[in-house]
Amino acid sequence: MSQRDEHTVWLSHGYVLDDLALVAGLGGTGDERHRRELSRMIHRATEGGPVLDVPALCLTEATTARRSIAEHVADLVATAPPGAVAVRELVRDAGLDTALTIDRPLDWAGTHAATHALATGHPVVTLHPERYREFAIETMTL
Amino acid sequence: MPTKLDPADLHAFIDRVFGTPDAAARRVVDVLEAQAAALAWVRDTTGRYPSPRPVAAAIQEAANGLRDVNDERDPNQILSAIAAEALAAHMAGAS
Repeated sequence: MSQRDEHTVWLSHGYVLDDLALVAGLGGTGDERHRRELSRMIHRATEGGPVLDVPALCLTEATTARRSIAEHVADLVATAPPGAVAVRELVRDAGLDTALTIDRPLDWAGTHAATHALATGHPVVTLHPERYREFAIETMTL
Repeated sequence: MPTKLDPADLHAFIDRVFGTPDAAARRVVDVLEAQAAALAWVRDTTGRYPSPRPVAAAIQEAANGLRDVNDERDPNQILSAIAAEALAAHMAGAS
C-alpha cells in the first residue's frame, strides 16, 4: 500500500458528528432510535470501527441543549482507545476561509462540522443533510 | 467531576449512558458503515473529494432502502455494486 493509499484509507475511516446528531442521540429528548444508533456507533468506534470526531463548536452548541452531553463525551474521550472518540479544534485553514464566503453561511457549529469534514474527508453524520447543501462535503443521515 | 472509567467497563458504560443498541440500531450502523465505505471507494477511484453528487445520491437512496432490520441483504455488497454502477454512468455521461 502506498503512502497515499494509507492516507486515503485513514481519511475515510470515520465520521464527523454534528450538533444535531449529538442532541438527537444524547440530548434526552430525542428519538430513542437515534440514541441507540449513536450508542452503536460509539461501540463500533471503541472496537476499531470508524472513529467519531466531534467538532468543539458542535459540542458547545449541543451542550446548550443538555449540559451532560459534554461530560459524557469527555468520559468517552478519556476512556476509549486513543482517537476513537475525539473533540476537534477549530483551525484557520483554506476550508474555513472558503466557508465564510458562501452566500448563506451556516452558524458556527455547522461551519465547524463542514470544515472538519473538508479537512479529513469524513462524512458528516447529521439529522438534516440539507443543512450542508452549500458545502461540497459528504453527509449521511443518522 | 471527571470520571475515571475502567476500560474493561467501557461497553457497560456506553450501554448505561447511551442505551443498549438493539438489532435495528445495529442494522442502521452497518448500513452507515457500508455507505461510508462505498463513498470512500468512489473517492479512491476518482481521486476527488467529495464524491460526484449523482453518485453520492444513488448510494444514499440505496442505503435508505437497506435500513430495515428485517432486510437480510449484505449492505456492503449492494452499496459497492451501486457505487460502481453509478460512477460508471456518471463518467459515461461526462465523457
